[in-house]
Order: sequence, then structure tokens, then C-alpha cells
Amino acid sequence: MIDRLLRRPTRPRGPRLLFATDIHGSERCFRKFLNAASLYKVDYLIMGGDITGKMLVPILRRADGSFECKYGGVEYEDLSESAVADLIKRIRGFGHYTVTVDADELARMQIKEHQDRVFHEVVHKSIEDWVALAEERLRGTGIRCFMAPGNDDFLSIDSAITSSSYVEFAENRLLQLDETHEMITTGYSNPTPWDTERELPEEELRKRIDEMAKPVKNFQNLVAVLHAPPYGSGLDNAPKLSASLELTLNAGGVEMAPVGSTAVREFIETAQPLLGLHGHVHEGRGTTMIGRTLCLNPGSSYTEGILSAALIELGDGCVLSHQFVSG
Amino acid sequence: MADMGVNQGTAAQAKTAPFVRKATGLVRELPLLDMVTYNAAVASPIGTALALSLFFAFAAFPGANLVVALIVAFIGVVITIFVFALLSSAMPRIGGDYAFISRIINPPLALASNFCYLAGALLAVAWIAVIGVKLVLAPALAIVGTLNNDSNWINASNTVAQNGWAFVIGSVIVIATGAVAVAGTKLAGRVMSIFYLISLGGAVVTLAILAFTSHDTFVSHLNAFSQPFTHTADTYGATIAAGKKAGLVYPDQTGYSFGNTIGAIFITYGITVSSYAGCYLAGEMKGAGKRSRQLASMLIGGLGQGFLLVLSVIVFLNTMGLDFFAAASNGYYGVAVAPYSNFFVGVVAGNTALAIVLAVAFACAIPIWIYVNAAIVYRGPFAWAFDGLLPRALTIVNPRTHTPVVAITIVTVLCVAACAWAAFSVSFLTLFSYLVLLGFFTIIVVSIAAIVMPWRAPDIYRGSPAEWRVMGLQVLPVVGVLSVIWNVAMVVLAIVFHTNVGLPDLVHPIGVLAGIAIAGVVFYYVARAVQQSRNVDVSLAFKAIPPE
Repeated sequence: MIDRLLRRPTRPRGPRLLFATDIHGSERCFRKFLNAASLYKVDYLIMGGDITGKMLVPILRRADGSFECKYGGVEYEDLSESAVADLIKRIRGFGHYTVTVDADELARMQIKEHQDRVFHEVVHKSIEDWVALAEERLRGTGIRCFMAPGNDDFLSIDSAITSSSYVEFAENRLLQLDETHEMITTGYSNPTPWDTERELPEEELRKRIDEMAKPVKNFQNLVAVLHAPPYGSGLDNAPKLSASLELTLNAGGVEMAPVGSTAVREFIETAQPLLGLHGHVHEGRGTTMIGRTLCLNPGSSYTEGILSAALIELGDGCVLSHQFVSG
Repeated sequence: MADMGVNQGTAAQAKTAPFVRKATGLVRELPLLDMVTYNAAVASPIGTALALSLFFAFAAFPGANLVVALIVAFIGVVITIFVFALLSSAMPRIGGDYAFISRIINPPLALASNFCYLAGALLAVAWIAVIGVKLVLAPALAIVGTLNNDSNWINASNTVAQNGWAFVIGSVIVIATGAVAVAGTKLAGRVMSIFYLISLGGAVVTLAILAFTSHDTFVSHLNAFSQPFTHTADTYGATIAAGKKAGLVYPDQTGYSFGNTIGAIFITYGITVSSYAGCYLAGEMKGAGKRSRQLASMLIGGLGQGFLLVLSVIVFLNTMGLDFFAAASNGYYGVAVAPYSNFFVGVVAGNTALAIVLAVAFACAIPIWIYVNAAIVYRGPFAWAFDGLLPRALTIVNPRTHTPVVAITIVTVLCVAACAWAAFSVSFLTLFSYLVLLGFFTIIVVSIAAIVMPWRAPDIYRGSPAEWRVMGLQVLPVVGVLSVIWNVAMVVLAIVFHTNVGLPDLVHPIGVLAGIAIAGVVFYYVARAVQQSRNVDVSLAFKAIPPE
């Protein structure tokens, strides 16, 4: 009854996009990302970077045909084929990768260079699989799917996305969404304590964004997918770390500090796009206005297998509605 | 983050150890001690808990065996902590019960529960602020005045203990705490950490001095100190005799009261259970997604404080004697001063400076206790706003201090209003019972969510740290059932002993509880309708997305 009393006449719907980011290899989150398209009836799916995982779990195939592995502090031994398949599914659900090896290969993997090579191969293959899954699920639906790598993603994964005939590689490109809206994207971030794959000093990051945005026709209808959130926006509050990368806690909780990009902030302040879509800082879930620009970070709950995303309806020169969804 | 703190494997270590690459967020895990300290601070500062549990329990349940009541309460504390720790490790996010119930059962019930919890936390702030003045500041002034034989301090004590002053000073403490919170979480955290250490240090010194004082020494020091005020050589004996004459029942003469010991569990449980409250800030805690860390930090934080409390009670009563303390707690000590541990330590040590230091340490617990409870209320609107149930304006964060100024201001104003109610309208015990009852509703609904989680939210449950089996039995639903039984039993205790716990009738508390819960449900439907009119369907925020 309350619904009926307060409901106003429904207006025509604008183009709707779903933005998710920082799923860090979680198979479960990626599948949810694809399934969310029909659930929320969106026109565009945008994956905003940091799509690959951080851990590779070797599973040892013993001479007797059983398997063993160590994961999450638990030592698994004498696993059967079916048990190991279940475990792999679980590990992939949390965003970690597996590689099944024999004792000789496991010994070789203790060498850093070899370990890195295997890690790259496994990650590349997983992105190829995801792209294939996206093609299978979305082709023919009319939904456009954009993917961009983030600062944590190996440079080598780009080819796994660019080779797709359906999924659009968004990094460092100006893309036309519809007649009205354009989109620029970069997964590069300002420097982090971890010295990750795609980092740039603030001046170079600003230059990269400016170059990409040069041909923009109308900034009032520009969607800027910039992985690093604007500095000091509240979307960039992360736990403060000591020099030894330890968290600092006091009676008020974990100490937080802004870690966003000044280049992104300056770009938003001067160009004033319609929408800023950000990620990078998992704890920074929230929205803020910088001038006329709605900036938004859906955060990330990938470790729980939960997809955190933002559902946004675009208008001409305005954002008609936005909300966070998770599931 | 599930993968934090795992080091790169080497051949010398277990060969199948996972390999971790260089990536953002790979930080060293928060030391367990830090998480324990935090949860302990959220629960209740030990010094204050010691005084309150004894004071209220003796007043409400004469003849109760407090040590037994505390130990039995631990059973409930452990069960409740298991429920919250497991749910929190599966869903480490801000919002606590709201996050759990909205995702596992449904959003309106989550709002009903969360409204009750936040109302309880808000009342807790007011309760702590007012008792902070009446039972900490006023007695502290009296103690100093009495030990110095200075009437000015005693007059000041009598003045601040009046309702009007209690409201004004309590409100000033609440506003000051709000101002520190607005100034930045970093500053607030540092201030609260300093206060916590001082408070803990005071409690440890108090306990140590009393533990190393024999009963005879205590009696002789007390009699010598009290004689100028009571004009009798045996104040100790006179205090016990006065209580007996007034009808006070002494357990060592008549045996402990079984009924009142059972009744006292309501209070001992209410005081020690809150260490689960760390889950309300789990979204900000690294390592919060690990079952072992959640369990360890909550259990050590809660039970550690609880065991310290039991030890304190034993030491306290062994040194002072149960009869004397029971009589003194009920107002039969002939010196006009609150019978708190810091006073008796001052008497034993014959040292005014030490008494002042301990009084200050005791008082330092008040702002921490206010802050951690208020911090839970500040975060409530954020969890709602993320789901589209509140206007964004309420969650605006100051760009300089990065704090939610509007939310903190509104909560502070509500806390000041609650302080007025606490100071003028109800007794401490009534207020305490109200806030504990509000908490019970939340705990019971969360426990039901724990029972049904494997079936209602299998996607979140499966593979999560909450999916824990012991001998093939799923732990979460089992502890959920036990928690419902335990907490319903606590509500039954509150009903049976309602006059003891300061509830003259049951209609009012049930009405208040139902009113707040219904307000939460109405809030959800109004928010949903308002958003619907803007073409935003808030129910989407709670929908599970199929993973396959």
C-alpha cells in the first residue's frame, strides 16, 4: 500500500550499465558478472580492472595417482580425482589458480623464473576461458561487454581479451557507447607500495588520461572508467601501512588513509565528465560528487565469492539513477 | 583477504605451498593481539565492568553467587560469539546483523533487527555517559575529598551527581567524543588507545594491590580510615551489622540463593557478551574473512575479559569479604562514598595520589566505551545507504578528515536526547535492561539467520569459512540453534525477574521493542517506495546473482 501511495508514473528508461571491478580471478564472481546482465536488464557490462588472481596453488600428482596440496592452511593428502576436482572449483571460486604437477615439475617451480612463467601461462589461459564464456553467454543478447586490465594484471593478458570478436578491450581507448555517451578507460594506477604491473607516476598517468580524452565530443556525457579513484575522495580510503607493510590498528579500528590518484582527481575536476567509475581500493565502496561528476567505487568482496557492482542508468547530461548491488 | 600473509614457498618448506605474486593488498596480517585488544575494547573496559557487575548484581540479586553466574554466562557468550564470528568470517562487511539478515533472510527483518541493535547501542552511549558522571566522576571526587578530608571535593561530588548536572556533563562527554570522531578516525583511534591503556593499567594496579592485601590488613586499614567519619572502632563489623539489621541476606550465613544466582546470569551475560560487536566493523578489518581469526579475537577478547572479571571478583571478595561488600554496595557503609575498588585501594595504600590516579584511570574507560558504541551507530546509515535505503547526504564524508560528519552529528544529537532520558526518567538498571533486551532481539534473529544460512544463502555459505563441519556436523546451524535456546532463556529470565532487573512492568519494554522493530520494517517499505518512484528498485541490492 505504501508502495502504491508513493509511486510516481514511471519514466522512459535510459541506457543501463553494470560496473564491477577487482574480482581478482574469482571464477564465481565472473560468472555472476555475466549472469547479472540479464538479471538487471543492462545494456553494458563493464569490468574495470584487476581481474586476475594473486595466488597459484600447485597440486601434486603422486606416483600412485592420488593428489596432495596445501591451501588455506590445510594440508590435503590422498585426494581422489573427484575430490581434487571439487577442491579446484573451490580454489577458483576464491580467485586463486591451480596447476597440477608431478614431483619433477614441482621442484622446477621452486625456481622463481619458472614459477613466474607458469603463473603467466595459467592466468592467460584463465582469461581466455572467461572471454570464451562471455562470448557464449552474451552473443546475440545485444549486451556489450567491456573488459580492461588493472594495475595488478599482467601485461600479457591483454592479448587474451583483444583476440575476442565479442568482448571489447577498453584499455586506453575512447569508445562510443551510444549516440550520446562516450567512454574512456585506463587500468593504470598511481604508484603503490607493491610496485605492480601497471603503475605510472602521477604526471604520466595524467598525460595518458588527457591523451585518451582529447577526441571526446562532449564531456558532459563522458563515462570515465579510471581504475584508481580520485585522491581524497573517500573512495580511496585504504588501511594505512607501516614501512614493513603491516596494518596499523588502534582502539578506533584500523587506521585508514587516502591512497587515490591526484592525476585522476585533477582530470575529473577540470574535465568534469558525467561519471567516474573507479575501483582499486576494495574498502573504498561509496559515491561522491566532484563538481558535477558522480564518482563511484563499488568496492570488492571477491574473497567471499560475492560480486559487488554498481547499476547505473544514464541520461543525456545526467545520471538518472545509480545503486550498489551485490550478490 | 583470503590470500594475505602467505609467503612464497621454497623448496625447504612444504613443496606444495601456494605461490603468491606481487599484487596490491598483499600486506602482513594484523597481529592477533591487536584484534583481541580491539574486540576487548568494544566489549567493555574491565575496570568499569568490575564495578558495574558487582554493583548491579548485588543490588538486583542479593545472595547471588556471582562467580557461578559469570562462569555460566560464559557458556552463552561462547555460543553467541561462535554465531557472530562464523557469519562475520563468511560476510566480513560493515553492518553486522543488518548485513547478515538482509542477505540470508530478508531486508525488512534486517531493518527491524538493526533498528533494535542501533537503538540499544544508542541507549548504551547515554547509559555509559550518565553512569560515567554519577557512578564514576561523582564517586571519584568523593573519594578524593574523603581521603583528604576536604568537604569541597565532597560537595562537588554531590553536585555533579544531581540529574541536571549528570545530563549536562554526560552530554558534554558525548559531544566531545563526537567532536573527536569528526576530527578524524586516526586522531580518535589514538586518543581511545591511550585511554584504553590507562584504563587497563588502572584495573591491573587495582587488582594487584588488592590481591596482595590480606583480609586482616584490609579490615584494620578500613577501620582506621573510617573512624573519624563513623566514630566507631569497628566500621567493618558495623557495616555488616547494619545490612543484616535492614534485612540483607548474607550468603555465607544462609547459603547462596539459587534463584537469584540464576537471575544474575541476565546481568553477567549482558555485561560480557558484547565482544561479538567487533563484527560491526568487520568490513574495515583485514583478515576478518578468516574463521580462526574471528573466533580467536572474539573469544580471547570476550572470555579474556570475562576471566579477568571472575578473577577480580574472587580477589575483591577474598580481600574485602562478601558480607562487607554486599552491605557496602547496598549503602550501609558509614562513609558517604561509593564502594569502588579504587577507593578501597586508596584506603589500603593510605595514598591519596594513588587513589586519584586510579580514579582518573577508571574515568578513562568512559569515553572509550562511548566511542566504540557510537562508532557502531555511525556506521549504520552507511550500510543502509549502500543498499539505497538512505539519502546519500547522510553519508557525506568530510574531504579533509574523511569522517561522516552528518551521520556523526545526527547520532550525537540523538545520544544527547537519550542522555536526557537516562538522567531524568529511568533508573540505571531499567535502562541497562532495555538496552540488553533490544540486543537480545537482534541476537535471536541473527541466530535464526545462522540456522537457515546453508539453505537460504547456499552461494555465500558453501566454501566460506562458515561452512565448518566437526565430525560431519555443520557447526553454524548447530550453534545457531543453541544460541536461540540460550538467548530466549535469557529473555525468559528477564521476564521472570523483571522487577529485579528494574522493569516494573513488561508492557512498556515489549511495547518499546515492538515499536522500534516495526519502525524498522516501515522504514524499509517507505525507502523502497521512494526509490521506486525514481525508477530505482532497491530490492535488487539484496538479490542473489546465480553463479552458474
